[in-house]
Amino acid sequence: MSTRFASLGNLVKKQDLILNAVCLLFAAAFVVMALSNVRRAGNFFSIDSLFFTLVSLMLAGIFMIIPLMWAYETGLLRNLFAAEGDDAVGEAVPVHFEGTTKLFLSILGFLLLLTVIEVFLAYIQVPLALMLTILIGLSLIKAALILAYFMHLRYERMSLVYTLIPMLVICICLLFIFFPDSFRIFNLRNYR
Amino acid sequence: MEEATTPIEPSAAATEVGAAGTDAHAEAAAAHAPHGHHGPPTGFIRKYIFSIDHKVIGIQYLLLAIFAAFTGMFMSVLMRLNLTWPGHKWTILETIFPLGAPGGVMTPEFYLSLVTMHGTMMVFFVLTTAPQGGFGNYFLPIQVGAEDMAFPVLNMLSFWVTLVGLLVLISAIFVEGSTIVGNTDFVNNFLGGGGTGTLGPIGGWTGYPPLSALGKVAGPGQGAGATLWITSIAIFCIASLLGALNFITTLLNMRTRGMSLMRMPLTCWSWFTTAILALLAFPVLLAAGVLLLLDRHAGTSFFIPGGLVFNDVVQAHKGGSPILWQHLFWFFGHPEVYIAILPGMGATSHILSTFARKPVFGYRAMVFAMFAIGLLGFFVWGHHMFISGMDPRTSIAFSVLTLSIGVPSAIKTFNWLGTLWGAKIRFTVPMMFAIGFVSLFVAGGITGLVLGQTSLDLFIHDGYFVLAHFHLVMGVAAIFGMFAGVYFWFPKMFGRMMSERLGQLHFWPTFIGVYCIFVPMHIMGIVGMPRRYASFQEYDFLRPLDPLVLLVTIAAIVTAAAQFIFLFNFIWSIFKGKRASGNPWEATTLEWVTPTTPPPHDNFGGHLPTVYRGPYEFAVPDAPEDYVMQTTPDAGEGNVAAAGAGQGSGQGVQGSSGNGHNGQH
Amino acid sequence: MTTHAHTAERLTADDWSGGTFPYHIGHKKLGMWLFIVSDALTFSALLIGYSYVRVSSDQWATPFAFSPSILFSTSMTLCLLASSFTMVMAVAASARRDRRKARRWIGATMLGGLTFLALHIYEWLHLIEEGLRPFGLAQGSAFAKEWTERWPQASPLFGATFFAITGLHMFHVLTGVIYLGYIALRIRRKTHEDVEISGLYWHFVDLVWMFVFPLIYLLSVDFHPAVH
Repeated sequence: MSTRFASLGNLVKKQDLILNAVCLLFAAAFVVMALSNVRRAGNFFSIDSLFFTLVSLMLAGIFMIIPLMWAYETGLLRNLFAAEGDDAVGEAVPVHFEGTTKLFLSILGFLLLLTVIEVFLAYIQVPLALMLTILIGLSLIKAALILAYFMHLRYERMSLVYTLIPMLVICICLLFIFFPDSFRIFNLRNYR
Repeated sequence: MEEATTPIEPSAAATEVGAAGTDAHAEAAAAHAPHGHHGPPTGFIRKYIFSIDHKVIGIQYLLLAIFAAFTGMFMSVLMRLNLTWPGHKWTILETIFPLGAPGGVMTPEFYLSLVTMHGTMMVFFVLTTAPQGGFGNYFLPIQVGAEDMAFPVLNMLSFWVTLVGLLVLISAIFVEGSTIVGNTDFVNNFLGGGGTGTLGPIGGWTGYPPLSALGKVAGPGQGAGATLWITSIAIFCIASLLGALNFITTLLNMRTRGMSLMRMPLTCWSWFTTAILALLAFPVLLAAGVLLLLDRHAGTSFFIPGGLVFNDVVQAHKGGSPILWQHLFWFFGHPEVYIAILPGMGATSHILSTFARKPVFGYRAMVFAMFAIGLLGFFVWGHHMFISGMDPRTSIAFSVLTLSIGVPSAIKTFNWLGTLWGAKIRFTVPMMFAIGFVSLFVAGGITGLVLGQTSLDLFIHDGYFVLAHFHLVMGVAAIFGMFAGVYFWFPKMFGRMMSERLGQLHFWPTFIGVYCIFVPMHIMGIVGMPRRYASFQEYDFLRPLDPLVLLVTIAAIVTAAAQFIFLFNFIWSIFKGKRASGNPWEATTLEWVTPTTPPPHDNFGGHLPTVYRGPYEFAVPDAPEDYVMQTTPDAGEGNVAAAGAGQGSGQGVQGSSGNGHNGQH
Repeated sequence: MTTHAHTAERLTADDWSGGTFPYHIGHKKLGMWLFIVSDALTFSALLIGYSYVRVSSDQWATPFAFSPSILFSTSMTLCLLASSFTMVMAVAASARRDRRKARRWIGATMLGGLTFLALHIYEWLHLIEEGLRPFGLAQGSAFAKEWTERWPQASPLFGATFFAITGLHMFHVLTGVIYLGYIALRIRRKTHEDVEISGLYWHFVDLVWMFVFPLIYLLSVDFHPAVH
């Protein structure tokens, strides 16, 4: 902000400060709520208790976003991030396709290996629940390999990964909320 | 990393090295123009029909939405007429709808088909199309300083796909009636010998199975009509997906120099959020629509439980669950609500700030609140399903999350009030509509807190209370946002001002009218009036509400009539309005710096602007005028191109290292 | 419409301050990534719908014998994986601006895709012949006899989920083959980015199969195949 528009800058600064203070206050209040819930709940690992704690913490988190963003903007947090170096991945590893045929072959080999393991599991007849867990786990690894190497996500900017993957994962996780209902319907059907 | 291996042509690198600052930018832009998608098109068809200019497409979207809005409004008036005077003979109706209103008396099925078509048309083809496809298309590229959308051809395609969707939807009204006439056995069986017919699917805009999944046996209009209805929605999904990825790419990749994310107008933020929501919500509806079509035509039963009996015939379907459709639909449906309202919020913030001559109060908080609303919007679909028999613990989770949306909404509301606080407000028509938006958003949103609570929702669900709530907050408020947008941007879009006097004449009846329509509906809902009933004659406990029903109907007719003032104003002003200057509202954002009004084909005449500051610098002390354009350089730094030079030098360094440096990105 | 000039011009110092490509990728590639995200959600919704139906059913038929059904679908998986590898080689070749080789590798990819399609269609036809239908089973077919004995409570939706999900995937493979064919035909006029984007799409199709294969096939393995 230039000197000429300094007063406007001050105004904005004041707004920011007030906003941050209010948000911090709310966030603190919600954290206190969560903590008191933890303290007072007889059985912390009940659904009620976990749920209220989580929701309180989530609301606290939402309120924390503004101050955090402000802190990041103003440079308070920048060093923290700089240590990680979000440009390290993108810039330090210049990719040369011609040199990595071996890499792609080994990825392919790995994918084939995982597939064979999956099929082998089907052959030795693992119980369904265990089978499902292992299969999902292996499939996620395979998906990650394809994304990272075949689709070159590993060599893209990390910001692209941060943009694409969380929104997909959040949505897919949300779809899992359908399942309580399917279990309910199963129970209804089997009500004798 | 692909740049590492992209063959970067020497000429391009030379351009970059050779020039600095804004010139480099312009030259590079000029250099790439021949590669670029298009020069100004010639010929009427290329220019106005199959145009790939985002501005023309935006206007096309807007006209489509206006058409759909008036059709939907006409349907709603018909519904009000039937509710108020059931059984009355409207002779003219017989001529228009010989099947829906035989002898001029509307049948209950006709009423239900009106409900369905009104809902679908308004939600998909007005609320989703106009604010995003219309204004977003026209102004997003201009406001971020781009020449066009990232994918102009895709843009054209998404408009035409939307149009096909609308045509398919409208055809759903007409195919079914004739089949009914031919199939007298069915009419006799189903309607008890009445020779009536319907004029469209009757499943409601939510299309709940099994009614929507069973085909003709589920009721008149549920045959080919419902199939077309689902097809239309699937087509619309595809169009929205294309649009959404175009918007996101444009906004991320095509911002002009200096237009950092935090310097974007709030309108751009709202279109961005909306596009993300559309990108993530519509695929789920698409999947659900495909499954529903399979249920109807491949004989599957994803959504149909066993043991259903229609017309004394046991249906062969079994094994599915209608709840699955509800989940899939509302997983899309709730974000859809925010797809409708968020652009209105953006436009309102923009317009309030402009006419209050003050910076938006808490810009950062506004952005945050918008994203919080978008994010939370994905977590709360269960609140449409409280009475589906879901686990009470799940419903509490959904309830609390729903209520927590109140927090970012309140942040926005208070920031709007903060923007207005102590301002010297210029009461122009767009400003009035923007204030109207705030009012309606609060009035409609506050009942969301009532409906979000499981125990209360169990009582008022599927009643007029819900109806009033979502019409106020999602329907009317969003439409007020659109009106504000039309009045605000009309000078830029058509180069002429809309008549202020007619605008006032439009605003007041509309504003008072919608309150007269929807506030009584809350009362009706609490008394216990259910939704989607064609008539309440047989319910004695609802008789005392008759005066209110009449009041609502009169208000609805007056409000609907007032819209014709708008239509007249719109059309008249295109041709005869007062000529507008380049920046009639003294606003600061990039759409007001275009070299001509309306903007030229490439928006900025080949010179992409450079942005030096945030979007809402009004009432700047010590500035020559009370506002500073985004393109005004910071004179205080002593250097006209302070920021540009900084960037230019940075670029010089980069240019000198040439390909090697580029390769490292 | 990304051109190299455009790309180069937009690479300035600060990623997010405008006038740049923040992810350092062009429009088309970003657009393809966004499309992949949304398409992934379509498939997720379908797979979740399948799981929902399966969980809520009394019983779910598990008719795929290890040999030959599972081995057959495994070979389909191998086809797709191999084609993914050849696609990556095509992208690598195009990165070296070796368009002739790139075209050859794309051809190999298309071959893999077409083999997959052929095997898949053969499998479909076989299953339909055995009596599997989108809803329930054909009267008096081989499946009908076996299923009523072994899975009397089985949900009739087995065929529905199977045909819906694999059908949509097959449609994607077909689209991918046509897309690749178009790229291969016009490879002289296409930039490296275009090849890479078609590769992204192809890998995505492969990625989806990495979930379809275990969830649809491997979880429906017949543990006690009937002795014929």
